[in-house]
Amino acid sequence: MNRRLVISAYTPSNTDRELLKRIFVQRERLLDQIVDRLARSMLTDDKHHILLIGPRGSGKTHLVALVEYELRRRGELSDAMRVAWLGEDDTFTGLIDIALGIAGQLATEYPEEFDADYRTPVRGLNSDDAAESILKSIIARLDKRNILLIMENLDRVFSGLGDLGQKKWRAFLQEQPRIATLATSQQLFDGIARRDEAFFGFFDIQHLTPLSVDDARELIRKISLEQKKGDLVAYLDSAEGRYRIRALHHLAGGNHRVYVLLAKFLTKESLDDLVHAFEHLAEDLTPYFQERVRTLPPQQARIVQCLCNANRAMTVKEVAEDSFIAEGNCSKQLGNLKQRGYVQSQKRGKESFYEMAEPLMRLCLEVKNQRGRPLKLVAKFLRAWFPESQLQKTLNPASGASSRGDAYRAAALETDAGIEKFLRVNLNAEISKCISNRQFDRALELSSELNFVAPLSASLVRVEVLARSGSYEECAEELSKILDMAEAPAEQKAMALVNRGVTYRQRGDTERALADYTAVLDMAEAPAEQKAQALFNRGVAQWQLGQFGPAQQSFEQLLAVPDLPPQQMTAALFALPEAVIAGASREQVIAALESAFRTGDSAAECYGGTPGDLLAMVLRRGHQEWDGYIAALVPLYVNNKAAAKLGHGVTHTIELLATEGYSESQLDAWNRAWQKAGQGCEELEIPLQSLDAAVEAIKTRSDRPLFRLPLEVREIVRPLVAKSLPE
Amino acid sequence: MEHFRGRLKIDYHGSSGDANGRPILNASLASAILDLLAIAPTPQTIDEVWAAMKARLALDNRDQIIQLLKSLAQDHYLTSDPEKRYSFRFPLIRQWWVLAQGIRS
Repeated sequence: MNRRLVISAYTPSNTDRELLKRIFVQRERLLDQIVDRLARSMLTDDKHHILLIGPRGSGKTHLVALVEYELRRRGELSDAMRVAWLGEDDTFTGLIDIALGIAGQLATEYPEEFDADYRTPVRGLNSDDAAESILKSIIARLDKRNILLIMENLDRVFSGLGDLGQKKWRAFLQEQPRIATLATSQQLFDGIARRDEAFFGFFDIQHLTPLSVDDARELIRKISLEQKKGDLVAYLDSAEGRYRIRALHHLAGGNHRVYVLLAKFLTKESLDDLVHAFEHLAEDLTPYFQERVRTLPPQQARIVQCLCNANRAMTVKEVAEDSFIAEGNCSKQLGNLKQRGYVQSQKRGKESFYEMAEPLMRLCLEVKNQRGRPLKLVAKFLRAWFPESQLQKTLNPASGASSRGDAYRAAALETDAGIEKFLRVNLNAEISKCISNRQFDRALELSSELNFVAPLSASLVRVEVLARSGSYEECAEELSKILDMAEAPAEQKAMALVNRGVTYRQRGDTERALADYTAVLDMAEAPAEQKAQALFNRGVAQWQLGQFGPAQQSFEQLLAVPDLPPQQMTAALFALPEAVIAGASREQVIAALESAFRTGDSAAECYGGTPGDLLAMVLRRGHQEWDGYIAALVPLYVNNKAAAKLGHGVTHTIELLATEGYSESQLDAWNRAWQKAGQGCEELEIPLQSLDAAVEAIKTRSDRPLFRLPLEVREIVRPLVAKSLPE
Repeated sequence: MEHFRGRLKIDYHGSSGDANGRPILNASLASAILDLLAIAPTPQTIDEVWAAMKARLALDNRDQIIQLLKSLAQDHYLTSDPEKRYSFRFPLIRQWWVLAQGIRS
């Protein structure tokens, strides 16, 4: 049988220390620092006073228990340190209570050193004198040892001590540097924050940060390891497990205690079990939250109740109206609640929106007002926890008198998908951040979590990540998955097809790309813009395959589409001559190009087309036609202010000249034609110089002629002719 | 002299998260530092300022305070001595700050 381990969510101080250590997360460094400083305090006169601040359930006592444990384990401290841990719920009315508390703890823990009867000698004295006398006798018995004083809820202790008590305690600590303090508090309080208070600047304050999603997963993993739940450990690494931790995180808000309580829900597969567990949890937690509300001043309690009922963020004005408190006063109270961690706010423009900081608190305050109806927050949570299809499937209207689970199922389906949406937005934001930081692996991992709630957008994310990281093979696979999804809308499918076509082309698989583009064109419900994109891509792919006739048809078909965006129209207009040139006369090609310059949008980036492709076609038509084409093209591009683009095209042909085996006389003919037609055109000057030098380099099989070119141009031309040069 | 206070909101824009992930405006933090130094009896070390700020706000990033002290010194609100102890650069502005912020020394 397994040893039964108890992890107490409320009193970690009663949990086995080794166990506490094994489930400790996130604060290892802080633990080491605190232990080191307190150990120094026990061995030297240098006394440290540390105050840990964090909301309820944020792991303060867990940390304190570990600090104490680590210190007690140190051999060198065994005779130097005496620990007095004052009770969490002791009442303090003055210095006398601290003195009695310390004396009581020491007498119980170290009966040989400290007198159990510390009360008799001071009986009858006034409280201040008694406190002083008890403390003095403790110090006398300490000999060379020092005291580690642990105080929880220091804010409550201080308010009990009052101003005078605080001053006396401070004076004592100053005069008798024999005590180091480790204290906790849920929030900052005047006794330490105000300059005129005795303890201002006295404590080294450490604010404890809430758990992140990853910390939370680590915590639950450690707890499940402890409880020997191997299945849960494996589940935590699955996408579904990770997603559910995220859903829990939304409810728990980084609060350690809530994770400890909720960890056992993770593997609950049946909704009825989960509902049952949740109602139990709500029962357990209610007194804890009710107590928190009860300790608030009446107006603040009313505001909290109002925000719990609202189910959304509210402006100050709305809260004021709903709770019948004057707006100015309401604003002040909200500010106070915010400082104490009950509510959180976000500013938008001039208005601040307030809501409860802990969703679970809302759950528990709802319990007592619901009278048996399903709890709204649990319904919302179920909606995020189970896929909608599963909620539908298990809801069985025929079963007559519906069970508790059915009531929740129906409520979950009715509720808006608040948590689910929140999680999606959060996940998407995190993924975008990963993508822009090029952390592609992490983005893929997160997308598998998203997959659980929104398979389609998860797939789209993966497509983006894979395309960006250059994994075209997997990208195409992912797009195929989208095409197989029954629930994906036609628009997404059309887009997936177009994108898969692009991916195939990147991979050099033009045939399959063509098939995808054609499939979009055959889809009746594909949106017009996707069809236009598919037509253009198909034309380009056909052109690349040397199918110039079909390419021409694709571009013409595209140009016939009504209301084509200018960008796309311009691209098609300039692509057309590149296809036409294969089977038409020069006049027809030039006419098509003239029309492109005339009707295209001169602001579009693709205005002027890609002359490199056009010139490649000219080059392949045979040297008899070169003079005529070049003489016609140059003035056309120059007059339409696109000479620079033509220059790029000319440079592009250098590579073809170097690799496609032209004779010396052909090389000269191409070069001559360009030098003649381009004479006097400033924009063509450098490309023509480059062409001239490159032709000579190819002919002489030496890079010597390239040295005529300026360095930066030479660096561009050299790789273009490299293949025709000896190694 | 209101200029000195108003300028904080403009020059010290932006915010950073506190220990609970809630935003703290840099301008408010700068103003809290000035409040502290306006009534401190002696120039304050970085550690003293850090400790005092942690007692008022849920801060967990010491660099944030160092950065602000540096900026406040560059903008002539503060000055620091060779031991890196900070105080107001001009006594007049210090006196005005105490009055304008309504803080008691």
